[in-house]
Amino acid sequence: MVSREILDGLRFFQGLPAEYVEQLAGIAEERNVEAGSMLFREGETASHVHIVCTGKVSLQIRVPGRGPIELQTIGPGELLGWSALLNNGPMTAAARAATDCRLISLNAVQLLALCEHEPRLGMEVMRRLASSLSQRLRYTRLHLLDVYRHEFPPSAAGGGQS
Amino acid sequence: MNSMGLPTGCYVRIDKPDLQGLLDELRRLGYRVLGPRLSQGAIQLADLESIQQMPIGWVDEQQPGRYRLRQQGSNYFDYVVGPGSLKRFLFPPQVEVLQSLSLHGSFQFTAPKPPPQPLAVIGVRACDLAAVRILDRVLLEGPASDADYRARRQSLFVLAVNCARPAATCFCASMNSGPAVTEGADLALFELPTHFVLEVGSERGGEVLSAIKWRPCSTREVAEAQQVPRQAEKRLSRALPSRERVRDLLRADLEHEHYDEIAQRCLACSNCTMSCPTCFCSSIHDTSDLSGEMCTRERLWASCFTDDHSYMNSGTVRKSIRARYRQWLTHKLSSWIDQFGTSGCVGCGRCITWCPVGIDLTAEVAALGGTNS
Repeated sequence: MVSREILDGLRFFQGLPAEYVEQLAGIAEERNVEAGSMLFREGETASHVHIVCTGKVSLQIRVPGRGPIELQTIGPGELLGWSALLNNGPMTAAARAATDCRLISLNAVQLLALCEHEPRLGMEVMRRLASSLSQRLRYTRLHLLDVYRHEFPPSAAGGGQS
Repeated sequence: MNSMGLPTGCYVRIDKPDLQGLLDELRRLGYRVLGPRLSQGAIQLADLESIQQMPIGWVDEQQPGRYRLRQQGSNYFDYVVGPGSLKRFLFPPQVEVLQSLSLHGSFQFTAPKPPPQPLAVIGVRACDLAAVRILDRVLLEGPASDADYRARRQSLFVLAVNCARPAATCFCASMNSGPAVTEGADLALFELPTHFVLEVGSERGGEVLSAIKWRPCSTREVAEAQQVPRQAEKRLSRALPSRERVRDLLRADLEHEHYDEIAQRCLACSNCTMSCPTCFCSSIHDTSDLSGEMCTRERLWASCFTDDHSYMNSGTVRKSIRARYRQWLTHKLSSWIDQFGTSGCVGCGRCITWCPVGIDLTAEVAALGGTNS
């Protein structure tokens, strides 16, 4: 259980009615993580979703023959470990604390029960989850453009019907 | 993931009177609902229509050879286990397995229909769930599975209860079978002074629960609920040594003189095997009508304490009570492990309570583990 004020300061919870933030605070725990430690690994099932309070977390995936590759860095206010909310894992990437971090952790099934009980809160949580995922998708598309840039040289890409 | 209903693993709280809603929902879904009721001076599983029929405010006091009920407080589930268990409903004492009819010089055989209604049981304890896992091993997972048991077992809905107080005869913690409910329940209940907390154990449990009035639990409320069986565990007063140690010590000395002492007290009444939630011995009896045209084959509970249990062409093998007690004890705690990979005991203490002369399995094992003089 954490105080409501801590959640109020985080982007993920902004715009939520006070009673909802109060209920979310009731299932939240605060966690301090040292720089360099793993929060979860790819393929693991996880019971909690996290919101970064302070610090930075690096998301990584393992590529055969190359080892872990950093995909993205997650900062304050952002959601981490969303797989636990959608299908009870497995995690699609590993997360390593890039700096000392403070996280708010929410038990995923308790959060889902809360959403089931308060459908309006559920809608807000799912809206924020979708927004987080769309941001990840945007990053992924940028990465893809980067990966395929040699296959489509500027002349070919700019050509076509015009 | 559940498309409808509460997710498996989550905890919610309900007001105590709202347990009725759960019972109604189970009945609406077509279950025959069983729950604890005062019956013949004990708390036993019986058909339940209303939570008012439950033994609210009744507790049991158990000692070797002694079971007494008294009123204390106003909790629903402060009693422990009575003489009956799920065995009576999954593997009933008397079941028809075959009927034959003589028609125009030939026989016509019919297998009985599967039980008509699925069962939902309220108030099952962790030790009894462990016993069902043992029965599954014997009756479902062996080379031949029992069709009647399978039908009853597969449709079973379990609302288990985390024990809040142990009986003096309980030793579940040393058998790793309680007092906390860890697996096998559709819903697991924790009783607190003002409300119930329910943990969703299966998709079906989540669906049933979402049909009634509930509130989500805070982290603190979950922790408070989880303390209930932990406190009960601290108050357990009996224990058996580790499974392997018991197996080896019983195997090491089959002629221990303590068996003579037990045999002087044991009445071979078979109460221990009847009340044991895992004893599964049965025998087959054929009965025909007077015309000899119709014959019914029934499966009946049997006990290794009777004469005819070991009857073979040369007569009864285990003639003495000493041999029968030794057979029961060494099978339950030793050769059962070789046979099925688990102990046959779950630490419910029924054989201690319901033994008319108070033979105490934990004390007898301790004596058999002592040096043979």
